Amino acid sequence: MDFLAPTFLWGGLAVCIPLLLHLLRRQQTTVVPWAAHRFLHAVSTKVRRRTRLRNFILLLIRCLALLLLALLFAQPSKNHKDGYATSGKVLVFVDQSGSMAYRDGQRSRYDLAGLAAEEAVNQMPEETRLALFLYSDKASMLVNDMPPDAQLLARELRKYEPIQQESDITAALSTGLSALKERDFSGDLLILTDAQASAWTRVSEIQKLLAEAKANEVSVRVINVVDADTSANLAVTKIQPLSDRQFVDAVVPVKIEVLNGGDDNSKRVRVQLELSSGVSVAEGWLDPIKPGESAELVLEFTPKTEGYHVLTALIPTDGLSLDDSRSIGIEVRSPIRLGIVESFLSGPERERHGFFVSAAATPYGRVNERGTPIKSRFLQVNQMPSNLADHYDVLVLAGLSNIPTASQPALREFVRDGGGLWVLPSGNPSQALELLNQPIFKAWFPGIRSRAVVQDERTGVTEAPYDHPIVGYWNNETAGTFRSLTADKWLKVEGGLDVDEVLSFKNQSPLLIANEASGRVLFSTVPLNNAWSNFPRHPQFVPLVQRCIDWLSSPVSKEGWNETDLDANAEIPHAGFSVNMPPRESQLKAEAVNEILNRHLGELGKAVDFDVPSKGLLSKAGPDISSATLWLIAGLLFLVPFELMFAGRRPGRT
Amino acid sequence: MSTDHQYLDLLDPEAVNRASSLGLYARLVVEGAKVGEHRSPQKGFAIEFAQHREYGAGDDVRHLDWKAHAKTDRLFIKQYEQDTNFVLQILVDCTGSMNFSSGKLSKFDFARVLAATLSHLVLSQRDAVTLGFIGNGQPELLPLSDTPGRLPLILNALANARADGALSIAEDFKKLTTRLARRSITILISDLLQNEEDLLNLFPDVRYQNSELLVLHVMDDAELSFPYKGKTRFEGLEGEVPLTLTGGELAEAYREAVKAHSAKLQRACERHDVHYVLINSSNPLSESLSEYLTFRRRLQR
Repeated sequence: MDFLAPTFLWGGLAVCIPLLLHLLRRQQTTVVPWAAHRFLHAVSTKVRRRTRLRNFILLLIRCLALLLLALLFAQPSKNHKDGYATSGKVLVFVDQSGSMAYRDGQRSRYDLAGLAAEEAVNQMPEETRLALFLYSDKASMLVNDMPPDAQLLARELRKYEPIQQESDITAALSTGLSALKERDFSGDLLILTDAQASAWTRVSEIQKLLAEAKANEVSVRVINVVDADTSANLAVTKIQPLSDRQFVDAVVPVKIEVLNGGDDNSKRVRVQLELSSGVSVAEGWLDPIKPGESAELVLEFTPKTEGYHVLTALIPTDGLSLDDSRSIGIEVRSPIRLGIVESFLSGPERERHGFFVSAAATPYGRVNERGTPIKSRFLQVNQMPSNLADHYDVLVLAGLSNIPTASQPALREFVRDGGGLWVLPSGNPSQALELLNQPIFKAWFPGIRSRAVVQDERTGVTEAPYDHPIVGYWNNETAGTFRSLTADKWLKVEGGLDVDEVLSFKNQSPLLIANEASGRVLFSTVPLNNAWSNFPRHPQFVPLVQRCIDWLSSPVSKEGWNETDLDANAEIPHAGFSVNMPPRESQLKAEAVNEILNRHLGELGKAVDFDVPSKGLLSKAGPDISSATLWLIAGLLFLVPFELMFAGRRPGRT
Repeated sequence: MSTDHQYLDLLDPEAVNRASSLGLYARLVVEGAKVGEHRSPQKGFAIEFAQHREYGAGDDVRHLDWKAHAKTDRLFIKQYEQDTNFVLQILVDCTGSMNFSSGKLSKFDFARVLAATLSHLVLSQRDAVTLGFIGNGQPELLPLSDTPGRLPLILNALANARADGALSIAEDFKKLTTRLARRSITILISDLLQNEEDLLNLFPDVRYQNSELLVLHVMDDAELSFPYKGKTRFEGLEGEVPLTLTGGELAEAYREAVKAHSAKLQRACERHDVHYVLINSSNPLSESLSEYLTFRRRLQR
């Protein structure tokens, strides 16, 4: 038991007053000559015995009342560990995790933690020194050395607010113990938190830290600032576009997950999707969600402008507003500009080498969830502009027997600048092999010529699994197979090439090979027409062509911007330069930290001084009367009728 | 209280005046040797008609009521009330407890004044009075006085009396009962703090002599109200063991005990047809006396 005004305890000496009065009055005796002795004899024995008992009780009551008054004035408060007085150093850790922003009324849990900290500090001896920390999944020190000044503490805490980070008790424990280690463990830890069970899941680590604290006689006090047993909280825990990349005027499906992290069933939930400008682009409704469960819905929108956008999913604001929205950054691109390079552009389009590629790219828009908008055009090899990258994202060299020397630098530069190049051999075997002799081609596929012959033999394509991302999609049986794809003639390339095999024939010879060492280049060992294979008539032809173009148009990951800058679809900073709330932090459903302490942490957990809930500490949230004070007042009120009864019945009173 | 020649101080002038106007009428019909103010049980032939009695042989025919004979044709003798004088016997308790005083007058002083006043009153009515002291083991009655000129003798005896006895008043009272005049009035003035049972047992004897008995129970105001609050050492006036008590603790129980004692005495007196009067010695004697005499007079009617 501590006292806010211990000086008043001296008032307890007032119990001596009735005793002294009693003793002093004993000495004063009046002598009276008396006649009616017979009456005195008769009544004195009986009355004196009764009166002595009554007076003794009255004396006790009055002494007790004086003691209670002294205690009342001394303002008793709950014991804050004797260690405070002896060690002199208290490390105060205030939980700053996202859930501390939860408001059940005017005050957030963070505010309540501040008030509890103030009250705790008020009860510390004056010689105590404080260090103030904020913690979530890591702890940071605000003030290293300060007196137990509640106002100072409150001012420091007001500078900060909860952040969208997870709470982890080990962060506070480990940081606190490390700090105390420098002081030979002379100090205590005071942790103010909303005691989410998710912060106590690293049981083995917590055990280790508590064992260290116990070994070094460091008392750990955890104050739970949550009064309410129930809470209501809905949170957006996931926002994810279902397409890898987003294109202008192409529908983008976005999956949104909403969690009921409270204790009550939710009502129907309205979910909105906003783009950078704050304009709602889509909305939908979710059916009621049970506590602890999540629900998903898919909203679609069509971006109209290219560039980077912030896509935000919103639900109506509740007690914890930090998790009522979730944002991701998306890159909206223009449709892929595909150039199909032919030797000559004379004759009907259907007879061109690149016709099937052009036709496969033509289904503009969504072919499947990876659908890619492509705008294609034919161009003649000797009329290619020098600044190809400005006009095209992907070039297909269709049936060329050679590449004019004048065009080679432009192609090299195009690939180096991030353009994708797809080489399709001519249906003429000699021309196909001739192409491989081109120096520029050797640079992309070194040594391929010496190991390539046109093979005249029917073969099929190997079955899944496939390693390359272009064909990884077909690892799923439901997406279809290449089982019926056959070729009667193909460029047989032996192994040992320093390139990736995208798709191979059953005899190990590649059908599609890729090189992204110095820009993305793809080479097909069969022309994409009816000359050598049934490829164009195969059901997987269109998606495969689209995926190839898609892959060729995507930036090279090894040296592109997306490793150092924002990754497409990465969750990006929300307003205020914070990040999205970790989903676990939205789980406010009342959990029994006590159970974790007592059941999982064993004796070490029981040693932790865990206050649940801290109604007594949060005096500023309610009347400023501690439970001890209330008991004292009740005791005094209890004594009053007895005092009146015994004093009133005392002989000699009128 | 002064003695010797200042014995006249014993007469309370106010009490005497008020009592004189009221007179001391014998509550019972007393038998006196002289014709005085008091009715005698002996029916005489004087002024006040009492009743008719049928004529018998030997009756004096002078007392025949001829008018009644004319009306009824029978012979009746007329009888009349006969006034007489009475003997008042005053017995004063002179035990040590009577010396108690919380004011100017002790109970004994009060008793003496009371006795003197009554004596004066009785003598002035031409009745006879005698005085005796009990509680000292030598109960004696003064010679019967029936003229006002004998008052100084009585007052002198009162003035010289001392309340220093420590013996039983019941014993002394018993000794005197044989000497008490028949058909007289006996007044006992005492604080009655001794064992009252013995005394009460004597009352039938007194009443058997057809003598009226009047008990004047004199108590000091402090004895009735017990005003002591703090620690007090009570030292007995008759040699009792001193008691050190806290007054406040006992007051209520004490007052209850006194009240019970008084009530018991009153009940016992009523049982024997004895007048019992509790007198607070701190009150003016004139008030107490006139109150009682008024009461007596009312009974007379």
